Amino acid sequence: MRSYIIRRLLLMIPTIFLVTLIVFSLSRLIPGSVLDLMVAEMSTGIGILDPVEAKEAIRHALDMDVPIHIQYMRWLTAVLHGDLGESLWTGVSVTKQLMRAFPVSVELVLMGLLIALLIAFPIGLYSALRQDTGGDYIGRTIAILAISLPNFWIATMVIVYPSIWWNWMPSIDYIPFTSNPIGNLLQFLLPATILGMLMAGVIMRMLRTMMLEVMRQDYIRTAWAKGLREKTVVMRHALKNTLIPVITLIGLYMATMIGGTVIIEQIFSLPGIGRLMIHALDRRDYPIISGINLALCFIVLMINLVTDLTYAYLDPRVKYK
Amino acid sequence: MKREGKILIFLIIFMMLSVLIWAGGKEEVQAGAAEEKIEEKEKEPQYGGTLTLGLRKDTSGFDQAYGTGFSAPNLHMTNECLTFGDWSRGPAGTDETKWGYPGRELTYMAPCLLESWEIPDRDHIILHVRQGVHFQNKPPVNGREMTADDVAFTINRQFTEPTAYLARVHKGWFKSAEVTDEWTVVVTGEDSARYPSIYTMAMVLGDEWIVPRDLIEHYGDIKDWRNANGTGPFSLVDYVAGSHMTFDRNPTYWGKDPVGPGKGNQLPYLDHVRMQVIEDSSTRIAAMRTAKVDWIYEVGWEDGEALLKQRPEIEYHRAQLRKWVGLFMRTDTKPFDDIRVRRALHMAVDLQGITDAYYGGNAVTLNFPIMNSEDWPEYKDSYVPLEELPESTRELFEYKPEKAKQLLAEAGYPDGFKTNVIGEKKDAALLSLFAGYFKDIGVDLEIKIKEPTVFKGIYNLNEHDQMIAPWLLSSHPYDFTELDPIHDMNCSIVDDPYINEKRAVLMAYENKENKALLDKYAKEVSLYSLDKAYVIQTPAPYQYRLWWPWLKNYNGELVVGMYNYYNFAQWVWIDQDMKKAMGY
Repeated sequence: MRSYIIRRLLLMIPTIFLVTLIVFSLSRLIPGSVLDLMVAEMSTGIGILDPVEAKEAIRHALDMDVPIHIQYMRWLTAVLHGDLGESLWTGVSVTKQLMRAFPVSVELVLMGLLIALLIAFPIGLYSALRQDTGGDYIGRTIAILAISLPNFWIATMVIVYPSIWWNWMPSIDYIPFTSNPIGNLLQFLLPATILGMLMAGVIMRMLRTMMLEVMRQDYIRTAWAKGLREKTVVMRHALKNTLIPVITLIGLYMATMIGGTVIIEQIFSLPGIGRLMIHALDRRDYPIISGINLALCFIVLMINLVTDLTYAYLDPRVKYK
Repeated sequence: MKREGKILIFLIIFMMLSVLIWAGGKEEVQAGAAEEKIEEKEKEPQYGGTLTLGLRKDTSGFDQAYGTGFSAPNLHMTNECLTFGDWSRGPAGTDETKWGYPGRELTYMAPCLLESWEIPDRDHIILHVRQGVHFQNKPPVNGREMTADDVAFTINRQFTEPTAYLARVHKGWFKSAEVTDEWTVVVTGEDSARYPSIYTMAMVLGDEWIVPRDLIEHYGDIKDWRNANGTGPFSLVDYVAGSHMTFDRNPTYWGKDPVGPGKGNQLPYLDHVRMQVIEDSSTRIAAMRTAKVDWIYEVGWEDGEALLKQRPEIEYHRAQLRKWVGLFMRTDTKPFDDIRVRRALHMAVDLQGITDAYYGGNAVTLNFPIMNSEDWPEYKDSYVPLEELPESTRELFEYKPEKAKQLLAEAGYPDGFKTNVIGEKKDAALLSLFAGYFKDIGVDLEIKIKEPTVFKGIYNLNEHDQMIAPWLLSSHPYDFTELDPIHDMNCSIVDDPYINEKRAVLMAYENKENKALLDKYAKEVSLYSLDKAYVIQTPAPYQYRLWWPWLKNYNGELVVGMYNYYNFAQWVWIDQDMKKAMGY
């Protein structure tokens, strides 16, 4: 197992290198450059502007007047020294901005996942074990609603209607965890729940399907025949085998959702990585775009590794050499 | 279905209905309670309280040398410029101006960090620096007095630092800023057609956020918010990127209330100002509705009216958005080099119909080249209302598709022609309206929607081949930058000798104080350019500024100075008793 882990970690290196090449070049190939935006912003002030002259002045000031491969080598060298560069607009360190924004999104996703699991597991299991009962129908309806209702719509409704009816809205003032842990968790509860709803619905359905399939297996019939209680049959014999595809789902969800929190962050005014990315894309802030993509790539690779290792834990037949 | 399941479903439906019925009646109860509690009477300004502003965007940074001053609202709290708006000439005093828009006019400006200034000729400004003004008491500056050296240092930095706005746009004018004695700075430039003094001098006086020299020498820059230091009425005590900024009153601030019941009082009245960044418009309006913020602005007319219906106690100011979409036609290429074609297209569009149907009547049809806005009363003498336009100009704003077809035929296009317009996604619906109108006269308009950054690239360099539809910030009434041959906002590529000659008078440094002359020439250019139909303007929609009634001494101001957004915070106060009485 240890050699497997080391091999996987070493394999990450060429992957990350390839990703640096792709994110660096692709972000600069997006139509419309940061130079155009900076010139446009200056046009909103007063004064006569020679856009060509202004563009060249900015290009020089931002060291973008060297060939792109030189820019890439400079950036890569800095990255290898732990420096992701500075924002083209504010000059603030990209690393600093990522370290500020990532915990917000990670917390949102983890809480969303936890809430999704807390909702999905009991309902999914109940639905499977009480197939075709009223409870099963309600559970399946909840799952369908959770999957089909767009989370941005729910989030907007949660903001707008309580403010009209009850003169209440959730806190929009970001409370860092370090300054007030309880306040922070309470603030994240609602957005995390909304974020986790889609995942909850998918897990519910997957769990129900897998549980129904596993419960029909011979070894489960044997367990029933032995006179074991339902709780023992489900928790000790059935659940582990049910979880393998669910773990895959969770791994996929984690990997995509960290960068997919932008709408929830926007509506609930949470300063996470999603908002940072959107702003960076809008403003063509290449160092931030590259930095975020690189960090996300690393996270996805680590999540995949953890997911694979979890399989080995759940299923003793899975052995990594 | 089992009995338990049926009961559960029934309970859920009953709860949902109960909630809906209960919530529907809540609003009236709240309004009634508020009315009983409010006791409206004139009061002396009170010290204390927190003003929370709901902003759409986070700050662009803490150092003017790394961007623009106008996009960094924190600077407008912690630092000051050499001049600012004369609060006593706004709605709080003589009401000569509304302080609703940024501008370059020095007429209504008051000395801020200056005792006075002189402009002996078009190449020099003499600045007499105010004494007794102190920076905030933080290391390394430690509350020392501001001197002429700080002023000169800031000006030189802004014109030489490659990343600074002034260095990129106005560097061609600037020569030097020198200290001639302890309290005097002489700024020297060189007036030219490309860098007219009238612009750069205004920027020096109104858009230089003075910083202490030793602060920059110690840290190198002010990228870190903790290092922010200035002479302003507030100091920055907390910043969470993308969320909020918190400011505390500066106890050593030099300013006094210039007008009203609190005249002579030490400013500011507020203990704290909080700038809450709320990017989503629904969230921002909900925050206003629930009084999580005390003030928001640039609220569209639909949202504004809905909010005022729900919360009639909220106060408001309504004025046109200073931006509007214009259809600019390249007058240096066919077919738009022919005035008949341009006039035909103008007449083919029912602008009043668009105002009524698309904007529900909540827009102003005539905004170009001069905007007649409630927020710009000082320029009403340069504006000609629609009903007073000469016949040949007024008919452009009347819906005359038959005459439009006739004009096209005279110009050699009896069957119309094909053309295109480059626009942004948010204007697709509006441009579709135009396409529909043009189709009726045989003009086939292809709408090319571009991603915003791509659009800006095309717009900056005027790379459109036919038409382009940017959102333009209405230029200052005396500038006509959209008609200036060397300005990038001139998307119609206008180079008209009559306009150029008149603009030369408007831009002349010697005429900057002669308002009667400026209004006369501005009116002439306005009438002339309207008749030439260089631009098909679209109605400028109304927008709201909204605030809760406990915000006192406030009448809808936005920019008290050139780019001093939100600096009204230093003159307003919070009626905390009223706020409590209203249940907040």
